Amino acid sequence: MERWPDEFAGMWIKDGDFKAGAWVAFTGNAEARVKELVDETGYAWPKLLHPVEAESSLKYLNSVQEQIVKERTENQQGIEGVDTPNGGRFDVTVDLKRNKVLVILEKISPEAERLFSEHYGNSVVIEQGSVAMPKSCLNRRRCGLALRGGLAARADADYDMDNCTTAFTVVNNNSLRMISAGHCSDSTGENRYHGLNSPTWFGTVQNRMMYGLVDTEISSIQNTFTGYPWVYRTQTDQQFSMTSVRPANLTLTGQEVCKLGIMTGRSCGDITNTNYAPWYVPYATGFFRADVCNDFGDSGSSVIHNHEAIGILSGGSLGTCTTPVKSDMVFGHIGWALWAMNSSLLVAP
Amino acid sequence: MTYQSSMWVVIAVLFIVAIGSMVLLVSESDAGASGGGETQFPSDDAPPLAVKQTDEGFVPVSEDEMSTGTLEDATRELQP
Repeated sequence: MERWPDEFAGMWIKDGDFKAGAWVAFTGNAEARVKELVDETGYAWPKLLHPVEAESSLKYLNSVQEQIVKERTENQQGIEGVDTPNGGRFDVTVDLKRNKVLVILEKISPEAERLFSEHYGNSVVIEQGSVAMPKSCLNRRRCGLALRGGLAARADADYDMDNCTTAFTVVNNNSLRMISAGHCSDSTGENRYHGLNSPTWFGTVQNRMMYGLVDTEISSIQNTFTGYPWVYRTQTDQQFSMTSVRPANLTLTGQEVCKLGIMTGRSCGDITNTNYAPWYVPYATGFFRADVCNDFGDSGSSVIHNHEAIGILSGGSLGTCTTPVKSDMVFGHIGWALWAMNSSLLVAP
Repeated sequence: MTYQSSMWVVIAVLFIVAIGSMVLLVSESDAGASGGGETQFPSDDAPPLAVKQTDEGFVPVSEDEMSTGTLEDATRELQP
């Protein structure tokens, strides 16, 4: 929050029968500050805002996270003088409710605990868990010549090539494009196909970025294909219109999101972490984690809430939607992806 | 032109080329295509967040039209 940058400690939402609302945390005078905000803005439902006192500001926690991600990236790139556990294979986020930087390691060792404790003190907590993985795969789907979010985008006409999912139709330089996950391609110029029995070429990757805030690519739409402002939501709802983009600063922990992927279809759950930093994105920042299952091939999935576009699925923990261990999802915000690709979301008139 | 004045012309040209090369390098590194770790945010000339397709072409959709930009919007569904 720009007004109290050194005191604001985050905001999250919880829906439920017992106590619903938005929790707003500060490192001091939380109640007075929330009241001040309500009085000044004339917010319509003040009883929904719950002040929380926190130890560390969000600015401080973000700076700690940024430093960990920087050292992780340098470690992965083999730069000398930097030492992070597991060769830098761990995810980092800020846990707003606990007011800590959360590091997720596949296996916690005494050495890892020592490194984090010595470098970052008690502002960091370590948890054992499954880290996010990029989710491209070996599967396919078909949807005629009308492209939209939630469809298969194949890298080759052969069956043995990686597949991803389309996220949304966008407009770049006055032309329609498909936006998806950046790790689905290795370079610009790669071909994109759609179709099951006789995959048809529909375009090439025009631009891609996997860095910082984004894991995204845009592909041209050619060869009689066209793009629509829809997503393939379910079998019975194949032309679900997109009408808006939710701003990144109002995409909050606790909000429900749904993803539409070629492998596991539509699944929904709550955002559990903001400012997530998956290990495979250099200098990662500003991603989101959500309690939404997915599988390899769902990379690039549309992440939506009702008719709002929210993000592009980047990865998730190991698991599927059916195994006992359900995977969770990591996504990048659509606003950052659009900015990085110099594009606009195509919405329904 | 004497030999001495020709030499000065050559030195001046080399100086201009050297300065030009440095400017070019600075511009490229500022672009932030690789390395660094700096996060750049949208500039004023970024395209609109959303557009709709009309007979006149692609038309920007304002944030007011999308009506998702306020805390009220974010917490609307929490109302009993």
